[in-house]
Amino acid sequence: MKTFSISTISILKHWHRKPLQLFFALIGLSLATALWSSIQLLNSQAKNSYETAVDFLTASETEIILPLRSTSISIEVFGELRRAGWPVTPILEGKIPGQRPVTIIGIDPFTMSESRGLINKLSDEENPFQEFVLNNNFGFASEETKAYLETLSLELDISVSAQLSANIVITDISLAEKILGEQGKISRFELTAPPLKNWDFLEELDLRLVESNSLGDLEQLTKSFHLNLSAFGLLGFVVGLFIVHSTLSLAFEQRKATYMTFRSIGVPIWTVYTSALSEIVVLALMGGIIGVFLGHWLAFILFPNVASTFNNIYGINLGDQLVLSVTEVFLALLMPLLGTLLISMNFLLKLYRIAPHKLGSVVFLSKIYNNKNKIKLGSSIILISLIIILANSPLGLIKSFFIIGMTILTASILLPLVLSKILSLLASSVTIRMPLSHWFVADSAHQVNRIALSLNALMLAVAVTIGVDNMVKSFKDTFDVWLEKRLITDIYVRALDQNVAAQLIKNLRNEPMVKNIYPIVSSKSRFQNQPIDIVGFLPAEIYSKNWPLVESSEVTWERVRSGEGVLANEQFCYRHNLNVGDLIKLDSGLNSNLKIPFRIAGVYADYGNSLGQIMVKIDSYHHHFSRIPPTNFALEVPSNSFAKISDILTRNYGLVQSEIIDQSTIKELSTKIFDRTFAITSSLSDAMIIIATLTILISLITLSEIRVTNLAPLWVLGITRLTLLKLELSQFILMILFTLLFAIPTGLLICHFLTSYLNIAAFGWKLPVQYYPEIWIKTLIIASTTSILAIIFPTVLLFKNSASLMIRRYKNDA
Amino acid sequence: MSPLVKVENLSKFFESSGEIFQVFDQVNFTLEAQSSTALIGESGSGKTTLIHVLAGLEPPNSGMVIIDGIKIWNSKESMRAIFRLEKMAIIFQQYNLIPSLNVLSNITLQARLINALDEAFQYELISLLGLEKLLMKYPEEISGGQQQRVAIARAILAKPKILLADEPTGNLDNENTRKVLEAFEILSARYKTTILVATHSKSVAKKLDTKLQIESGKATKTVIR
Repeated sequence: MKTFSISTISILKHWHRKPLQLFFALIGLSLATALWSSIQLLNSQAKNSYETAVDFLTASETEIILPLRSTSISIEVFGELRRAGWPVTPILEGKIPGQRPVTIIGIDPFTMSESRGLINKLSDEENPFQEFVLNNNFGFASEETKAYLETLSLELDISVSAQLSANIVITDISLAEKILGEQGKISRFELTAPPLKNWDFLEELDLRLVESNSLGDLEQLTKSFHLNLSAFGLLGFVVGLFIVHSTLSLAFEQRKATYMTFRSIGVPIWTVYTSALSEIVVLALMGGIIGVFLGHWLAFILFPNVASTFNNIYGINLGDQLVLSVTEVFLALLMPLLGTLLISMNFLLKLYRIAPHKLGSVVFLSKIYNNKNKIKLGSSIILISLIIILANSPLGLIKSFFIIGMTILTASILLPLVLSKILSLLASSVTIRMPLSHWFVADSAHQVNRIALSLNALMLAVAVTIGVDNMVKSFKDTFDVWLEKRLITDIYVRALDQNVAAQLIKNLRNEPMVKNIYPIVSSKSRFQNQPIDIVGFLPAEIYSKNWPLVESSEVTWERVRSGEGVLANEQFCYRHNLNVGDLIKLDSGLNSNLKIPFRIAGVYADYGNSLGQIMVKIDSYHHHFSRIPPTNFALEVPSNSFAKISDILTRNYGLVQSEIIDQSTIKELSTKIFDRTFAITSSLSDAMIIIATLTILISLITLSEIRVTNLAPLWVLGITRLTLLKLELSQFILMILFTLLFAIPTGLLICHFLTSYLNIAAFGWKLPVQYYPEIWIKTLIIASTTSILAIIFPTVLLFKNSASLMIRRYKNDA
Repeated sequence: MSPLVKVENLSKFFESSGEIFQVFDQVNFTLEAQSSTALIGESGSGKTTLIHVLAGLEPPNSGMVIIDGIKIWNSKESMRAIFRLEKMAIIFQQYNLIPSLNVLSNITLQARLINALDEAFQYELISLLGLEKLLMKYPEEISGGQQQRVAIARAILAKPKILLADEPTGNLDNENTRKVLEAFEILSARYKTTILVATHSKSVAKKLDTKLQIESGKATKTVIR
C-alpha cells in the first residue's frame, strides 16, 4: 500500500508541475461530457414528454376502433362493446368553435387504463385526478391555450399543464360532449388491452379496427430525431476526447522516465499500473462532474430550439424545465470514464511493455510510424471494402449510421496518412540546395503525426458541417420546389360536417370567383400489416400538370383517371419495395374480407409524412374504401381573391378562419417548420467547429514544449526567431488548408450517405443531392479563420518564450 | 595575432529557490584569431554556460563579449542570430541534429544556409569522420557517438570564424577522438578558425594551443604550446 501511495503521489505530482496540462485535460473531458450529456438530457426530456403525450392520445394499445361509414359512433355502441367484453374506452374529439383550431379531447377516466397516473402526470397540483373526476367543468391545457379559452365564455376550469401542446384541451367526455354539442357521440375507441378476435362483431356495429397512426408516426419520426441528436452528441464527445488524448499522451511521454525508474528500482508493474489507472479515473471523474454541470447548462441553452422542433413537428410540448436525474448523472459520468480509459489504452499498453533496462535507449520513431502507416493503410482498405459491401446491400437505419460512422473513421485514418505521404514526396522533390524549404517540408511531414488528432478533429467537424449543411440545403431547395408543385390550388377549406360540405359544393359551383373545386377525402387502411392513408382525389389536369412525381410512365394519369391505377408516395414504395407498374392489393374499407387490386401508376414525393399513402380517383375511393363524403376541398380561384372567398365562406357557411387556409399561409408555415427542424442541427454543427478549433489551440499549446526542442537546433544555428515564427505559422496553415480541402470530399460523401441511405431508411424519401460550393466556401472560411486564430496564439507564445524555453531545454539536457 | 574574442568583466549568476548561485564573476580573457583553446574546469564550473554566453544564446548579468569587433550583447536578438549563422558554429553536448532531416542534410545544413558549401571539403570531412555509410539515415537511427560526429561535421563544414565546442569528444572512442582533433586542425590551419573547446579530456586539451581554466568563478589562461 505504501509503495502504491508513493508511486501514485509521484505520478500525480506531474499535474502540480504542469497545471496548464491539467487544465487542458479537464477542459477536454468536461467539453466532451457536456456535449454528450446535454444531448442525452434533451433526448430523455423529449422522450418522457413524448411518452406522456402518446399515452394520452392512444392509451396502451396501438390499434383503435373507428366508425366504418359515418363520422361518429353512438354511445349505445359503447355499451354493446363493453358487454361483449371488448376492452375499450371512448374518446370524443372535436374542434371548439372559435378563432383558433383548439382540439378538445374528452376521455372517460373510469374505463381508461392507468388514467389516474396519466392525469396526475399532467399537473404538479395536488391530486389532479380527484379534481378531474369530481369537478364537472375541469380540464387541462397549456398556459397559452388556457388564456385563449378564457376569452370564449365557456364553462371550463382549466388547470395549466406543461405537458400539453398548444391548442389541445383534455376534459372528461361528458364535458366535451357539452362543449361540442355532440351529446351521446363518440369519435373513436381506444383499446386498453389487446383486441378480441370477433371482428365480425365490429362490422355488425358498423365499426372497424385500424392501426393508430399517432403512435407509429411519432415513434418513427422521434426515433430518427433522437438518433440524429445522439450521433451529433457522440461525434462531439469523440472530438472532445481528442483534446484529452493529446494532453495525456504528452503527459505520458514526459513521465516515461519516471515509470522506467519505478520499474528499475523494483516497484512491481501492477503497482505502477494501478497508480496510472487511478490517475485516469480521478481525472475522468473530475472532468466528468464539471462536464455534467456544463452539459445541463448547454441543454438549457439548446432547449428552446428542440422544444420548438418537437412542438412544430410532433405536436409535443416538452414543458419548460429540464430535470436532471441521479441515473442520468451516473450515466453521464460513465461516458468520460469509459472514453478516457479507451484513449488511455495505448499508454497503458506502452506502460506494460516498458522495459527498465531500455531506459534512455534510442526509439526509432520513423520505424514506428512506418509500421503504423502500414496498419492504417490496411485498415482503411478493409473499411472502404466494408462500406462498399454495406452500401450495396439492403438498407436499414442502423446500417446507414454504421456506413456514415465508417466513412468518418476511414477519413480520420486516411487524413494523416495522405498528408504525410504528400509531404514526404514533396520533401524528396525539394532540393537539398534549398535547406530551409527542405527542412520545412521534411519537418511538416513529421509534424503531421504529432497533431494528427487535432487535424482530424477539425476535418471531422468541417466534413460533418459540410455534409449536413449541403444535405439540408438540398432538402430545402427540393422541399421548396415540391411545396410549390404540391400546393397548386389557391385555397384549402375544411367544412364542419357533411351537411355543410354538401351545401358548400352545391353553392360554390355557382360562385363566379371559384374556377374549380377539388374534393379531398381520406381514410386509414392497412397494407401488409402496416397502416397507410388512402386519399381520394379528383385527378384533374391541374394535378397531372403539377403533382411532384419522382417516378412515372407515359400512362400514369390515364391509369389513375381510369381508376385502375393509383399514385403511391415514396415511403410506401420504399417500405414495400414497389415500383411503377407493380400490382398491389389493398384492403377494402367496406368489406374486411375483400382485397382490391390496383396498379402503381406513379410515385410522388411526400416529405414530412412518415406513413405510406395511396392516392386514388375519388370515385374508386367511394366505391372501395369509404362512402363518407368529402369535407375537405381545394379551390382554384383568381389570385388576390382569398379575402373575398374567405368572407363568403365564414358568412354563409359558418366556417371559422382556421378552416380556410390560403396556399401562401401553408407554404409559409411549412417553411417555418422546416427551418425550425434544422435549427438544432445547425447549432450543433457550430458547436463542433468551435470544439475542433479549441482542440487545435490546446494541442498546439500542449505541444509547444516539444516544438521548442524541434526548433531549437535551427535557432542555435542562427535562424532568427521571426523566421522560425513565419515558418511555424506557414507550416500549420499549410496543414490546416490541406485538412480543410480533405474535409470537402469527406463531407460530400457524408452528404451522399445521408441523403441516399439514412434519409430513405429513416423517413422513406430520397433526396436529389445538389452541390453548393458557396456552403463549402463559407464553412471553409469560418473554419480556416477560427483555426488560424487558434494557431496564432500558441505560435506567438512560442515565439515570445522561445529564447528562455530553448535555453531551459539546454540546461535540462546538460 | 590580434584577439578575435574579447571578454570583459563577465559575470553570470542564477537564482534558484531564493538562493543566488554565482557561475562566474568578473571574468576577463581574450581568444586570439586562429588560436585553439581548451576550456577546462570541473563539472558545474560553468563551461557550458560560458559557451552559451559567448554564442549569444544566454545573456550575462554583466560584462561584455566582443567578437570580431562586435559587442554581441549590445546587438538585437535577430542580429545575434545572423552573426551566429554566418560567423560561428557550435557543437553541443546534445548534438542538436534536426530529427526530420537525414544525416547528409544535417551535415550540409549550416553551410547551405550561408551559401558556403564546399563540396570537396564536405566529402573530405565525411570520409575523415567515417560517416559515408550513414548519410541517408535519420538521427534517431544512429548511435550517440555517430550523432556527435554528424554534429561536428556540420559545424566544421560551415567554415566558421569561431567554433565553440562543448565536450565534442565526450561520447567518442580514442580513434574517433583523434579524427575529430584532426578535423579541428584542418579547420584551424586551412580556414583560420578560432576554436574554443570545453573538455574534461587532458589528451584533447594537450592538442590545443592554450588552456582557459574556470575555477571558483574565475578564468585563468595559460599557453600550452
